[in-house]
Amino acid sequence: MSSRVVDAAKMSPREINQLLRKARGKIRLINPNSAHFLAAGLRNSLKIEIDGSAGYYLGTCMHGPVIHINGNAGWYAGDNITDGVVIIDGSGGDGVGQGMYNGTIVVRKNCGSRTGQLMKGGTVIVGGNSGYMTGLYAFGGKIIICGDVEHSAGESIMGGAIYVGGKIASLGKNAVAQKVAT
Amino acid sequence: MLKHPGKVGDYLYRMMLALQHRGTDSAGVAIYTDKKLGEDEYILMVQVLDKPGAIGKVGDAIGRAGGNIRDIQVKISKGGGFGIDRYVIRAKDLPTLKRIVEEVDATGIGKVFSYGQSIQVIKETGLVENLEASYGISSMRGTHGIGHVRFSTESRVDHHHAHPFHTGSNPDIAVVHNGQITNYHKVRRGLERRGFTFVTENDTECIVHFIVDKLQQKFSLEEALEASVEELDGPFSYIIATSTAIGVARDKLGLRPAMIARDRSGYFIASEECALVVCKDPNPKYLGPGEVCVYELKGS
Repeated sequence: MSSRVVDAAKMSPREINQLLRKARGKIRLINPNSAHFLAAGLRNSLKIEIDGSAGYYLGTCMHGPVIHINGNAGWYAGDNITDGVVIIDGSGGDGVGQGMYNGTIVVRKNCGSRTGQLMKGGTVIVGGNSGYMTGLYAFGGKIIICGDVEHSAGESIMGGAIYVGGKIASLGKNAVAQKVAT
Repeated sequence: MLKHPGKVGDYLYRMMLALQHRGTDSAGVAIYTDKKLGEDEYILMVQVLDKPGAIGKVGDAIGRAGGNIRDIQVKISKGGGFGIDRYVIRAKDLPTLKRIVEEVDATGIGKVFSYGQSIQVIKETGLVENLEASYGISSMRGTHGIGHVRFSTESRVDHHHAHPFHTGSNPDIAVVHNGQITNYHKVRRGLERRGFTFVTENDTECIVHFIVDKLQQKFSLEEALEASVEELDGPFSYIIATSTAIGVARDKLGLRPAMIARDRSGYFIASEECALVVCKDPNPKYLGPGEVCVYELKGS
């Protein structure tokens, strides 16, 4: 199925989301100009290709869509999602996947601080490094960091697991490190 | 900060427009001109009430304190009631310059927003477009500059509480800030005991005096920023500009954003990536929690 192309250059986040809410199949958004709240609250089956970067709260509270963005995403990408997939080819800001219940978020480069904070389920995968307090207050789910994590990893973690391919600068309260057999 | 002098105002205008959603209370810039003045010449940016005799009163105050006016550019705000006038004056030394500022402020007609050999602060309540319509910031040239759109959290909304903040303690230094300095009162008391004069209740003013205090103790700008991360409490990120450098600092928990980017034309700092579209860097970076970064003009 070919994608419909939408030029978001002169559209507000509200207008973009109203259009996305009515769309089906595949849609390609160009010139997003790092707008905030893109794809917020979407529940329809939709594949969204974003050509550029997104601002804060990409895909917040969505259930089901698949978002692929070839740029970066600002803070709180995938905030509180209950299902769906977010793939970020660039870097994520702070709080990627915060509070998520289910679904998958992939960041190919690096993330900022507090990745997966307060998450209850689902999976966050980071190809690069993740910042300070990764997994802060996590209740469940999996965070997979292929690179390094900064200080206070797993700060006050209550459930779930953080897998780290590289170095861990330090562990937060409650966090216990174990080597995984390969 | 541009690698070669150019249209700093245009960059700041476009960056601030992209960030307008972050705050609509007020907007302001501090642009550092690339036009060299004589050794004893200074730029005063003065907010002057639009009243009969106002410029005369400000001129008298400058003369009384020992200043010699070399040039005046008058610009009236489209909102009416006042303007921001650019004076080039000759003053024999820094104490004389400070007396001139005090005399102008004492007129009740004029209020000095900035003074120095290159700094030009222009700020008022309202939107970025209003600032542009009144003062044409996009056409201002220079070497570097900082800008701000304000969402007031700590103090009242008026022209004087808009950012950037310039300190009367030191020419050519200004700050823009996002966040709150939660130990503001304690830090302010300490700085007041050391002789710094505060003119607002805005916590941002505390940052600029704090940095100047450190610079006066022979800290480098980078060391002063690092000290601020240690000694100032609260969620904050701020950008400080001097006549030869720009620095950015972020609080230890990283609770307020700061991104940096660079391309062939220069170095760019902003709260969000959407403002960095003026720069051709495909990989703008977030400054880490507790990190500082300083850019200096070539040859400085």
